[in-house]
Amino acid sequence: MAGVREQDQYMPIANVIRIMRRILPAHAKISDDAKETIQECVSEYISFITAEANERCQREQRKTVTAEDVLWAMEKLGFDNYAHPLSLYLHRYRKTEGEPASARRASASASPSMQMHPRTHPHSHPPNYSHHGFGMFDFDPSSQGFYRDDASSSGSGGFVASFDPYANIKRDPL
Amino acid sequence: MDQNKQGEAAEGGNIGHPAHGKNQEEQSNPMIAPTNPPKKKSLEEQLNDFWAAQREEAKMTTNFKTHSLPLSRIKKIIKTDKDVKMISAETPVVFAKACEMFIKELTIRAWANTEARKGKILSQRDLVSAISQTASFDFLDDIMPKDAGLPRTSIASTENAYLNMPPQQNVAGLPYDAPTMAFPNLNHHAPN
Repeated sequence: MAGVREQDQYMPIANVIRIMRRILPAHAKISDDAKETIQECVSEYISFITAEANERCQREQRKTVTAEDVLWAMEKLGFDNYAHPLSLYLHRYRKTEGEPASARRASASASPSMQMHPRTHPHSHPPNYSHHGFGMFDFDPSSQGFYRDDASSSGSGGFVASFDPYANIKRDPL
Repeated sequence: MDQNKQGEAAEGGNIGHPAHGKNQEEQSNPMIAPTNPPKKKSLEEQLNDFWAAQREEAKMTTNFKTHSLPLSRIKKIIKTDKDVKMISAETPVVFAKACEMFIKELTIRAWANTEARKGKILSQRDLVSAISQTASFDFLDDIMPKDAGLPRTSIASTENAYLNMPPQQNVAGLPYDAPTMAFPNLNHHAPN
């Protein structure tokens, strides 16, 4: 294993294995090289889809890659099977989580019943999940180039802020 | 055969819907179900069932606070593409679900290869084989280890190697420089 930075290029292996086991028979075993290969495949998949989605963004002179861009890229790149359930998933997400940015800001300050997690990540981790067990998050925007154009998205406040650009032109794929 | 069986398999998104926990269990039953000992579902049937289950699951999801994969890591991977400026908050959420499906589809296809060669361990060559057989996975060809094809000429010795020398297999299966080298090309990767 290389340094922390390389670790950050891949999904945590425990999460990957957990997902694999849900789909495999109970007696199945997974070799270590297969685990690592899948990690690499997942990162490659994200980058592959992202590149296509981003190209569409740039053609349309937009700066923010949206969920619709991702779904569009998947259909274009042969992942039609994914785009359909993901459209349903996104639709439900918006009905339960994706209230308009202004309402979200208001509800956040008014302590909504569904409270945002105080941690940096706007989501909770599954039981037994250990972030740091797979390498510390050595987050340094200046050295890694992460979030250099979107620094606000690194915090929970940024989660809200990043909705603003699309508050008025959100499209419903369904 | 559409059978629901009691099982403990449950995903975060299905916590409030045990029926889908069963449905998820169904995905693995075709390979071990005692009620179908003489015939297993074909790979195509398994995948059709898988996608039908994904659509049903997507409709029923109520918990969007818990994801199978950490959103922060997804954001970092997305941002390895220097051309990407900003992403909406929904983008990593959609990717978390998409990657879960991707891992599952790849695992189903790879395991079919494991079974075809009468193996008991899902190994790298099963993945390499599954990827080479699937058109939508062509983009992965560049990062697959080139020597993975070699073991196929000597299955017996490979099986022994897996069983007796896992550390050595680890060493052989660590092409960590390859993905890094491949990343710059990703920005200009043309779709097939």
